[in-house]
Amino acid sequence: MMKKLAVFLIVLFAGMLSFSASANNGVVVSQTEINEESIARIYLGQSRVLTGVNLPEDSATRTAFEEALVGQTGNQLKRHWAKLKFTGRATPLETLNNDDAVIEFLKSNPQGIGYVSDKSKVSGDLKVIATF
Amino acid sequence: MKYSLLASISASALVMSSSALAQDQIEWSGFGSIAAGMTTGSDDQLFGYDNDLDFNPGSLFALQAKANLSDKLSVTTQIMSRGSEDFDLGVEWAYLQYQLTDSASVNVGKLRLPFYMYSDYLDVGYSYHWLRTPQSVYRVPFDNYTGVSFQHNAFVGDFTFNTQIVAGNMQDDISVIGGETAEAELNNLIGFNTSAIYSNLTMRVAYYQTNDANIQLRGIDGDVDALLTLLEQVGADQIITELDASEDKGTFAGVGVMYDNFDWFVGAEYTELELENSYVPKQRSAYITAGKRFDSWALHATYGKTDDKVMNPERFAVPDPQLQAVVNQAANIVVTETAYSSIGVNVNIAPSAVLKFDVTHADNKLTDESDVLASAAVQFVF
Repeated sequence: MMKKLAVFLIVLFAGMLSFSASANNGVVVSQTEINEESIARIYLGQSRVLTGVNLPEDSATRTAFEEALVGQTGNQLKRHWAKLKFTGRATPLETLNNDDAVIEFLKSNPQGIGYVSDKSKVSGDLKVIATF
Repeated sequence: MKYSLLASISASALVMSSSALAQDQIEWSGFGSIAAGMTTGSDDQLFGYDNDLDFNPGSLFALQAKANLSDKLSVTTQIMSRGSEDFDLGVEWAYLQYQLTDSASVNVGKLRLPFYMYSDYLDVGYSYHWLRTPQSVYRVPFDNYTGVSFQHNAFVGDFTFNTQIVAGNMQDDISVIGGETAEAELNNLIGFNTSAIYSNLTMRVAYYQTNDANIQLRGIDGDVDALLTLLEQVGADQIITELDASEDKGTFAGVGVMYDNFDWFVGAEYTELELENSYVPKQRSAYITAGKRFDSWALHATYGKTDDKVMNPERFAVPDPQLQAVVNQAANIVVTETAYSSIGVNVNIAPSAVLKFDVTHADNKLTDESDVLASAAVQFVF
């Protein structure tokens, strides 16, 4: 019983470690240099200087990005974007399936901005704008 | 009128969808609210509810279609079905939008008149914490106008300024005395609103005016008609002009503030509406609201108050005391002085749906009557 509990705790701890490690590895990527405030403005629908793309709503990377750099929780942002969408203030940002789709989009869109969970995927013309 | 407009919108929606299918650029979305409510006292009436459980007054469904005609030009229509109007379909918004720059755009068509802080999202209950916006303030009996709107976002230091300038006119059947409807028309309507956002704090000011406001007074209420006829007979036409809302000047001013750090929030709004040389009193309205969010639920409370005042009552002076009493009654017909207190609980039941409970107590200081309404609603977006 104690053994099982110990194994469980180790697995849980390892899981937490790997989760926090991947959360710390998140990066915002674009071909265009931009400051951190602009990132929040783009993802709040207040600025269109660059075209932002999102990862799916259930992605842990998206949650970490929104809390760290946009300063809002997923629920808050959902309400915020519902307001923008139904009043014509902004068009919802496109959602791409995974890191690779985001990288591919950014490579072919100089005016695009996105975030991925894995820094090592950033290459070529792409720059790391911020980390989270 | 409603059906021909609907027909033309449906037709344009069809054209939109067939042409847009090729471009794969039509975006469908929607929102809704299913609400039920009943007052607790057998004689109580509030916001269209009485002592029988009713699903109609607060329920609505809306479908929005947006098609991008180019990078900068888009067309959006929002079709809504409200329980309070027997679920008849109506066009709530229908406009062309042109993106001028990264931070400026112009809309033309049927739009929301943004009197209040939450006017734009009035029907999207999912986007705010109340089950319904505070009726102490949100009480102008029309929501939309036809015309132009210019929107601009500016960033100054750590502030974001959202400004909107509107111009157009409003023509609608509005509800007036005792639930009766009257034709109303506002022409040469112009105004603006600006929100300053600093971190978790939003401050807003709004001002609108018209020099040609008209509300049909005859034929709405038998007593009013009888009074107007009587005034004509005694040659007191001046009083009729003073009561009548005809080519009159109207102004609306409002201020609002909201602080929301996601754990808790507090906000308030104050508005003043005036329609010179008419029976409509100066309407002063306010509320204050606060709440706290927990993991998947929230608790909030709101206190609101209306405080109306008949402007320059001397303009209704007639020599006959008996007639004076009737005239005074007419001049006070829509004066309200009511305090509203409500508490609400919200539970997130799905990522895009929230279940809300609300109990509102209304205390009419003029009639000394009080009404209590209990409601529940599921509000969602898709």
